[in-house]
Amino acid sequence: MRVFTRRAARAIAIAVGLAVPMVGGVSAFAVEDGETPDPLPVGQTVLIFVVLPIAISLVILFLTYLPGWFRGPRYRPTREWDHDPLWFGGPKDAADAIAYDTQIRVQGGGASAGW
Amino acid sequence: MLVGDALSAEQIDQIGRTLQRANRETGLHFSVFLGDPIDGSAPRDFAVHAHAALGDALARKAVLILVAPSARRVEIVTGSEVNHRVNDRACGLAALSMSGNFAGGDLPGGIVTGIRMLADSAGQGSRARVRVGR
Repeated sequence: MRVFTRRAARAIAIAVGLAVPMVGGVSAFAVEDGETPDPLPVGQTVLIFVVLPIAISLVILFLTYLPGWFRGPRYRPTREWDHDPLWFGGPKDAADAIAYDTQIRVQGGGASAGW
Repeated sequence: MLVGDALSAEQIDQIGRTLQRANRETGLHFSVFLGDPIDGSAPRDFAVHAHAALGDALARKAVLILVAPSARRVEIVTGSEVNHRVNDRACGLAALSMSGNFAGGDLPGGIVTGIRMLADSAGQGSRARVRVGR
């Protein structure tokens, strides 16, 4: 289901991306032969060449960070670890169980690795 | 159980389900400790300690996986009755595979992978043990 949603979203994004440049804008800026277009007002120039690129950049930036906000904090090997320990399938009170050491070891083997 | 915000509720749920399934399939007891040693000892010592802290009876058939993010170590400790089913070689492979995931920042993925690998190498327990010879 998740895969399907992702694929559908991707297909729609591509379709919209392809359609927008074709539909919009072409006739509005067309210039006849021999006609000199009026110079662009300063406000409009700034709008098109400054404000618009910044706005588009911000939208892309927003979309880039969006998934991270939903996923929550992610572990980074180089960053400090300051979370509470989690013990799955362990005693109810971890600190208590560790503090009370039976000194009995029934370990058979094991292995280690680092990263 | 202590509550941490290192993993999302969904990830905790996924690890819990993987553990339950591994326990059911193998008849062993799988346990995962995610966090730095709470008594400040070295990861290996703490892993052995935590394994013993599961209780004498449970520890014998338990597989404890310690994931220590600050020390960047993963330690696997098997109980005395598990050792012949999950040998040190299988533990080493699982630890290596997990550390690969952890190095990429994927804690829950590495934990789930490790449990599954260890459970696979443990097989189905006494029910499926093949008799050799006559």
